[in-house]
Amino acid sequence: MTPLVTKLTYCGCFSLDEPLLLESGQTLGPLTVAYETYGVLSPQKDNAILLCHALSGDSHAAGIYADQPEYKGWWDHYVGPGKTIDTNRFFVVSSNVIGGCKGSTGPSSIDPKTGSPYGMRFPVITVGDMVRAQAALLDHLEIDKLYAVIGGSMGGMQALEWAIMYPQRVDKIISIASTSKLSPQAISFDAVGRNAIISDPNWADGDYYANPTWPEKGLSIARMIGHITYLSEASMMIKFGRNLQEKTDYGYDFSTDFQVESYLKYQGEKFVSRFDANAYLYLTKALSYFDLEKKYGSLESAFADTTCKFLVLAITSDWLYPPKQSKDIVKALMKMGKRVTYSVLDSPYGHDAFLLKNERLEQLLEAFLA
Amino acid sequence: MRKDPLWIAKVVDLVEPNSRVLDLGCGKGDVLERLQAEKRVHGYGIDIEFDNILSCTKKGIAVFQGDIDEGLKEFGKHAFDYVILSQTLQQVKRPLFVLSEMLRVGRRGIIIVPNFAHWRIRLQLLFGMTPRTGALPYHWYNTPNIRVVTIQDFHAICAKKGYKIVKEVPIHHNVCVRFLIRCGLSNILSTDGLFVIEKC
Repeated sequence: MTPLVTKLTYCGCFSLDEPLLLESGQTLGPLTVAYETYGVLSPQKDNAILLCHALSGDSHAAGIYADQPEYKGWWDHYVGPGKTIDTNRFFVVSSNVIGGCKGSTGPSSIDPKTGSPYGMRFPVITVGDMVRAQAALLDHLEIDKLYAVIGGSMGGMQALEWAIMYPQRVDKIISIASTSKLSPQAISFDAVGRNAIISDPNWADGDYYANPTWPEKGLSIARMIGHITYLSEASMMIKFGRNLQEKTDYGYDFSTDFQVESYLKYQGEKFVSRFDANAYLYLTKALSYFDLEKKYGSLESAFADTTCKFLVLAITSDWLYPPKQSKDIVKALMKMGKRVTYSVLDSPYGHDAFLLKNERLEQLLEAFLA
Repeated sequence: MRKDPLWIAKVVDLVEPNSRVLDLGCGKGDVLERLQAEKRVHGYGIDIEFDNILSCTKKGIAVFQGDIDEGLKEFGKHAFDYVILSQTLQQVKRPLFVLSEMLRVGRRGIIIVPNFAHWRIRLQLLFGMTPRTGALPYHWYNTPNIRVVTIQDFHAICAKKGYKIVKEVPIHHNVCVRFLIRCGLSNILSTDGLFVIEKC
């Protein structure tokens, strides 16, 4: 029988005393990486899977905490005993990215040089830097080789970087709803989100941590914009249509009329309580900077030295990182003669579909990880 | 073990070990599975159906979900030793384009087509029925085949396009007809035609 709750094997932090050299040329340290693990590492250490979360995710990928039963892991449908990523078989590591605000070092952490939060003095980090911090965590866990690295969206970018930066350390890569570089359209949405934050008077050039008011308005607008890009026209139509919120007719004023407005407002406000505005700036910047072609010359040369098997999955209704962008990755890999499988998952739920339960995704993950 | 169709064994015989192979419309990956196991080939399948992608993934075959046209255009000249098109030519919209693309990205093409001039088909047509056979098992209303082709037709188009038929293997299920096929009756007695072609 499958237990209802995934057992958390470990939930905690690892600290790296040596500074990490960042792609920008700056250094960051000392460094803390928050992580959780599920399952047991085999004596041969050949069953470790690294999960990489997306922009607003964290290290809590599976299971629930005893004191917060409603706070489920972001991929709890897929990760757990007897589930697709079976923690009876695999040792799953899930860490929070650096630059975020969920336990790993980020702009809200204390800068040891000043004794106050970094704020905008935090160095700009990249997806590659996130991966370097994860590699340091795996060194600490004494895991030389990963059975697989799996991620969706920004997590998929990390998975791709893993294949490129540490070709000897990973056997299988799964990238879901991801891209090798953001389109100008996707960069634009992130830029508007950042603008909303820095235009909020409470942002105070990023030094708001000691103030009574934080840039909540700006962050919630940024989240609302982001949320639109995670859904699709069809999913919004299914979910809300043009339905009115607790009204029988238009209010003929500027209060909330439509359900979809109310939903976005709710999403924005909910986000403020769990996310840091500066972290949002840093992480969306890392997304905008992510460009494997720029970093490695071309997609082909990026993947030239990779040795792992790739599973690249796109979602039909994802217009943020549309299937064409996944296909470009796949075509470059095929050109280089790499072992790659590409599939496009039929779902009306847009970019966020990778977080939802999807039977075909389950089937492919299981087949590829077998 | 499941019994594979005759033509799969013939394809496996034809391909040299360690070849680079692309299988267009690879279906459940039966050909590539055997080629990988017996000839250690490396390559890809291309198929449009999710269920086929899943089957291939279970077999450890690398596969691309998409149109044949789309899957081909990225590859450079002679990226593969063999490009296989089995039971698919009669289903593509632009067969001549597919054939020329096959011989661009592959040194050789292996094509298997159900022979519409097989005697059973001729007989069914004679009696006024849309033919259904082992090689063409569909009804007129649910067939994925959008055109019909005979072994003779295929010879004609290769001659016209300047493709050399390096090898031709008639597929039939009866040992007795082997002699008759040698006498030039392949277009009547073979259920399928298997051709290895290359550019002249």
